[in-house]
Amino acid sequence: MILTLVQHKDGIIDEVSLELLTLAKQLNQKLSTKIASVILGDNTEALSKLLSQKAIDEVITISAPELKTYSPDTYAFALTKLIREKNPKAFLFSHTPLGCDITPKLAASLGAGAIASCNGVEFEGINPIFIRSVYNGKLQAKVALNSTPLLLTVERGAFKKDEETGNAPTTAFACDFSGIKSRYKSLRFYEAQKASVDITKAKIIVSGGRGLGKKENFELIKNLAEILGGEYAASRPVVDNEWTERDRQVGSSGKIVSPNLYIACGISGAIQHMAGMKKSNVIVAINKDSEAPIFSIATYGIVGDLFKVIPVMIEEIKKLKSSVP
Amino acid sequence: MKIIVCLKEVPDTEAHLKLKADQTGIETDNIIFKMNPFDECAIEEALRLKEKFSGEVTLLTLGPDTAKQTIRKGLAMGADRAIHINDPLLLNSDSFVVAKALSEAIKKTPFNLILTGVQSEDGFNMQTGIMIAEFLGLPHASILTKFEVVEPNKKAKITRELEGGLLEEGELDLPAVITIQTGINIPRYPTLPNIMKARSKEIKDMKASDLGISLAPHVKILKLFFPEKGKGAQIIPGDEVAAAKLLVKKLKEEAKVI
Repeated sequence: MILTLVQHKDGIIDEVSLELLTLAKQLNQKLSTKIASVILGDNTEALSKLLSQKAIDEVITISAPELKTYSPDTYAFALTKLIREKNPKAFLFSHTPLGCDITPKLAASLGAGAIASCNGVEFEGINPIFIRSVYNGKLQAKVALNSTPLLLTVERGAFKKDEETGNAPTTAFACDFSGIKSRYKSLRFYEAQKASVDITKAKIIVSGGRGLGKKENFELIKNLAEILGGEYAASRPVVDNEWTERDRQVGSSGKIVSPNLYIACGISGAIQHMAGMKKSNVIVAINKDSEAPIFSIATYGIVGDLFKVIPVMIEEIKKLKSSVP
Repeated sequence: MKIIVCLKEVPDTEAHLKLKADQTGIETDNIIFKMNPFDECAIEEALRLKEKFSGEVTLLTLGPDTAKQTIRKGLAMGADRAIHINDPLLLNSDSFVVAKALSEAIKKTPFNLILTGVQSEDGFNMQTGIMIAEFLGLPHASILTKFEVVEPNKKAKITRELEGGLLEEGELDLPAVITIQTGINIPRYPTLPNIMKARSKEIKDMKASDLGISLAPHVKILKLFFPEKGKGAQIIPGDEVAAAKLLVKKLKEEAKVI
C-alpha cells in the first residue's frame, strides 16, 4: 500500500494533496500495490466524499476532536498506529509546514530515514531514485532511501495535479486518544501583517535580494519600481534584515505574485522565492553570479553588477517616458 | 536556564560550486564556509534568553576540522562553551544519523531548552531538530518566528510560520526542542573583546565511539548535478551599460511590457 496524507483547511483540500497522488501513481507503476489517501481531522465526512471521487483504492479517515488542529503528538500517535497496522511501502507527505513537521518525527520514531522536498522520481529497475534540490537550489541530488516505509515530503508544484476520477471506498480508522497528552496546543491562526499595499495586484514588480548588500541600497529598487509605475518587493533575506516591510516578501512563506513584468535584482533564486514568482509573464534577472538558479526561469538575464545596471535602466526609461508624444 | 544550540557550518551558496569527480559531493578546497544563517538566528535567540533568565549557552555541532571557525564565531557572539563532534566516520551522515549523534551528546549535557535552525542552507531537509526531539522524547515546535517563555521549564508561547503569510500561535510544554526561522531576530556581530574572549572558551571534541551510535545512513546521495537550465534566460550581451540599454529596448519593443 502507498499512503498519502491529505492536507486541508476550512473544508477545502489543498491542491498539493492531489499532486501527491501523481507521484503515488508513478511509484505504483513499479511497486504494484494499492493507493490510499489519509484524512485526519475532527470532521472528515465532507472531505472524504470529495476524495472518494479520485481514482484511488481507498480513502482512510481518522476522525477525532483531538485532530481538529495539527499537533505533533496526536498526529504522530494516529499515523504511527496506522503505519504499524497497514505496513505501507511508502507514505507521502507534502513539503509544507505540516508535512515537514510530522515526517521527521515519524521517521525517528520508526527508526527510518526520510527524503525531504522531493521534486522528481526515476527508477533503477524497480527501485525508486528520488530527486531533490540542495545547496539553495544551485544543485540537484539523486538520492535513495534504504528504510521502509519510504517516507517523503514532496515539493509543492513539482508534480501535476492528478485529474483522474474514480470511485473509492472510505474506511474509518479508529484511534483512541484517551492515553495521549498533547504537549503542544494550537491557539489561533492569523495573518502576518495587515498589508499597506497588495503587491499581488501589481502589474510590474521590481524585487531586490541579498545582492543589494545593505539597506540603503534598497532605494535603488524603489526608484526603478517608481519610474516603471510598479511596486517594489523583496526576497526573504531582505525582509529578515528589515530593509523593507514583511508584506512585500515574495515567496512560498510570503506572497505569490504573477505580474506582467517581474524584475529580480540581486536575487539568486532559492526554491522558496521562485515558488512565489515563477508564473510571472516576463521575468528579468540581474545577478553577478551566472550560475544563479533565477536565470533558469528568467526571460531576460543580465550577468553583471546591479549597481551599474539599474541606474542606466532608470535613465533609459526616463528617456522613453519623455519621448512619448 | 541551560540552553543548547545545535548548529552547522555550510558552504556559502553564493560561491561557485564545483562537483567532485564522482559527483557525490562538492569540491571543498576553494569554498568559503560560514555559519548556517538559520542557526545564527538560533544562537541569537538563545543569547537573548540567557540575558533575560541568566544561565548558559552550549553550542553543539557535527562537522570536520573547518567547523572550528564557525564554533569560534558562535562563542564570540556570546555562547559559553561548545561541543564538537568531529569524526570522519560521520561526515556522510543523513539527518537521522546526525540527529542521533547530536541527541546522544545532548544526553551527556544538562539542559532546559534546545534550539536549532529550521534547516541548513546546504541540505535543506528540515529534519534534524525534530528528529532530535523524538530521540530525546521531548516535544518540539518548528519554524518559529517568536518564542516567549511563559513559565521557565514549564511552558512557552510560540509563533510558527505557515505558508502565504499565515502564522500560528500556540503553547508548548518545556523542556522542548524548537527550530528557529530567519527573521525572528537580527543576529549580533561579535565584538572585538568578545572575539578575544572566545579564544579561551572550552571546545570539547567528541568521536562517534564516545556516543555509541550506529553509523549507517538511510538516505544515500547517489549523484549531484546542476539543474537543467530549461530554455533559460536570453542573456543580454555586452557590459552593464550596453546590456541595460538593450534590456530596456527589448522590454519596450520585444516583450512590450513597459
